[in-house]
Amino acid sequence: MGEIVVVTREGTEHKLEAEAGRSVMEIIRDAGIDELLALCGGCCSCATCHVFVEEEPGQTLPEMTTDEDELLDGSDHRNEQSRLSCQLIYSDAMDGLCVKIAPED
Amino acid sequence: MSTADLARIPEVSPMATLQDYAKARRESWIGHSMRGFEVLTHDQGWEIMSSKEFDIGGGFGVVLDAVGLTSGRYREEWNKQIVCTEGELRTRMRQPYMRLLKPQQVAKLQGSVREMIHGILDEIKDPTDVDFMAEIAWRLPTQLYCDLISAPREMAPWIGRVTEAINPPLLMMDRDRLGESEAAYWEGLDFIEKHIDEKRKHLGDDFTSELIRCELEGLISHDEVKTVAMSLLIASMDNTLHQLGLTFGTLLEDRSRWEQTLARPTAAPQAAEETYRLCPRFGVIARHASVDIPVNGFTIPAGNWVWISTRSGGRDETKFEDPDTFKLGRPASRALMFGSNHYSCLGATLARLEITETIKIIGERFPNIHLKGDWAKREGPLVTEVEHLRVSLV
Repeated sequence: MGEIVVVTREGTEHKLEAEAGRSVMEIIRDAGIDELLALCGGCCSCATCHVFVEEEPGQTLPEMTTDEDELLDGSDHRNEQSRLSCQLIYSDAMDGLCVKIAPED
Repeated sequence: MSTADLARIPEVSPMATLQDYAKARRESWIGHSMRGFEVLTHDQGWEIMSSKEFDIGGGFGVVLDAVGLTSGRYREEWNKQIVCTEGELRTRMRQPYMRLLKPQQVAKLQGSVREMIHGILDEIKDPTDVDFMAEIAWRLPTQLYCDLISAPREMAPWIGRVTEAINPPLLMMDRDRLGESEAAYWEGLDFIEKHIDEKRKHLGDDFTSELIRCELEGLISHDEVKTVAMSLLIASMDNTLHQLGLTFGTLLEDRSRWEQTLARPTAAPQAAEETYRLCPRFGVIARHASVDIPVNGFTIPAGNWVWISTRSGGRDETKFEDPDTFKLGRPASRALMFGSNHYSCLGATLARLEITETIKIIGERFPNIHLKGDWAKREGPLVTEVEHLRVSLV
């Protein structure tokens, strides 16, 4: 069991236990942080689980797929740190990862 | 296509059972039927529906032809609809929807959808004996439609009657109800024309006003405002409400499914996706080959239709481990029934929101919901309808 840090839109920081094999979206939603909507439940179809990732040296994230890339293009707030949290399947290589929930479009 | 080529692939009826599909998948990823080719596996289905090499060959027109609506004023009206158009016109007519129904916009409706569902549940007279379709499923999309166009919610039953009469006879290929469909269409169009004229006087924060703004920006024409508004009336309700029924029937027919759904805050949307896989409203997604198109070692000959079976693809054992089992936390895979790319369902996110929020709220308020007797659905060659679904909420 590892840990991720989630920063809400208002700036509140939450340290959450993270289990390998679960998506960052699920970890956030299951902790009761419902400002991350995740309408499609993690099937990479809606972009309502958009987060900004602060990747530290040594942390390795799953590659972005074309589907994820195209969906993120629909957000007015996309930047180089943008990812869909449903596509970030937690592994030990992501321990300590910090993500900030992106603003609503 | 030579006889030898056809002999290599199984014959699959458009009305195949799950057992028929499983048997056919053991032979090939593609079969043939009286209407063209049937794609049986998930990934090949996704590949074809996402490919820009395939078109929709006049789209919904193939259904209208099959049901006998081949000419006349009613057919001409349908020919203008997005579902029957191709190319630049289709792209242009999709734009207002993409602006208004993109996920980030739909997410803003979450609060009002939740309030609407609570209201519908509050009004149920006898929670021990509920006609789920009439008392819940029909009411939510029709009330939401009223909100989307800023019409009074009291109009919802009328809207429901009109939309139920227009689309389902065509989707169920019921020739006997063609007259009913046409009469309801003109009734709906008359309402839409008056509604647009009224909105032109006082633009507001609603779908119709946004369409008028699209016209003012030059995005769509004066006539297309009417056509696009009519598309919303035709397409935004009956598919959602039947999927809502199919979803609840699927979740409640096995208690363990409902218990899994209640177990975690993230479970509702994933449970909904599992029901789209196991019991989709749309049984097929159609594509058309205008030229010979090679796919996965097979060539679809020009002039043929390809029917991507969501009923078979959702049970594809090469894609889904233990495919007949309802299981949360499967690897991400998009539901086939919403289509893909420039032919995808424009209301998919809205439908997902309505269904997921209904699961969540009923789960919170009525965790002991259970079926009262059997539920029944009717599968046609294109779609599945819920015939009856009776539940106790307590």
